[in-house]
Amino acid sequence: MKHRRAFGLLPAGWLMISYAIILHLVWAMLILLEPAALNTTPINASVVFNSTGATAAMMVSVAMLAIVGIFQHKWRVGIVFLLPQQGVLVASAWGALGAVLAGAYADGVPRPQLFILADQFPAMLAAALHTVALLIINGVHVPCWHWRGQRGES
Amino acid sequence: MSAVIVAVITGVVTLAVALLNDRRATAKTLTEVEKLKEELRDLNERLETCEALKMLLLDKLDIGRERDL
Repeated sequence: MKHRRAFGLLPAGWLMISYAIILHLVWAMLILLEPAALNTTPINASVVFNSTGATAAMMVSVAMLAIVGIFQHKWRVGIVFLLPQQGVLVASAWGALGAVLAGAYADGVPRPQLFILADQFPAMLAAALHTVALLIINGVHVPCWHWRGQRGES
Repeated sequence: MSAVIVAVITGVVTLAVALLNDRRATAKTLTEVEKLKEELRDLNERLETCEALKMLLLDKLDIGRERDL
């Protein structure tokens, strides 16, 4: 049986997941404080329920599930808890890519494509790095990565 | 809606890659265990041979001592 210790996560993976947890909690707070935040490009793409309360609840749930996932000793259970977080990040990245291609933000503000790319690139990068982090945490060898993620090893 | 579909596909692919990697790692570990078992068996056989030789030498030593006496 493959196990990993709680906090047995490698630093990069841990940092990426922490980043996403904080990001989603801050997004949830901002949506509740200012409902117009729903129309920002990265959040708009992950809106499923079209209500501020439901979207904020979804963001908080995703962050909480990720926190639960980190403390799971069985990696197969852990990754299931971390997948919703990855889903929201990928949806945001997809929305950002759509905005770049359309040359307009989700709220309809038109801008040059490279302007939007410069602005939204962090969202795309975060989704890609989060996926890499999940794979490393689960022991998948990622080329060009200096250390391998090993369950239960550091 | 397309964002949700992409997110789900990415999640499924990530899970599949992780599971495949785990299966490969398990298979590799099992092969190593089999190899170690084989080595252990070989070492046990050698140990038994050494034990037999030791007994033979001790017997010869006893015979030699009896002759000297």
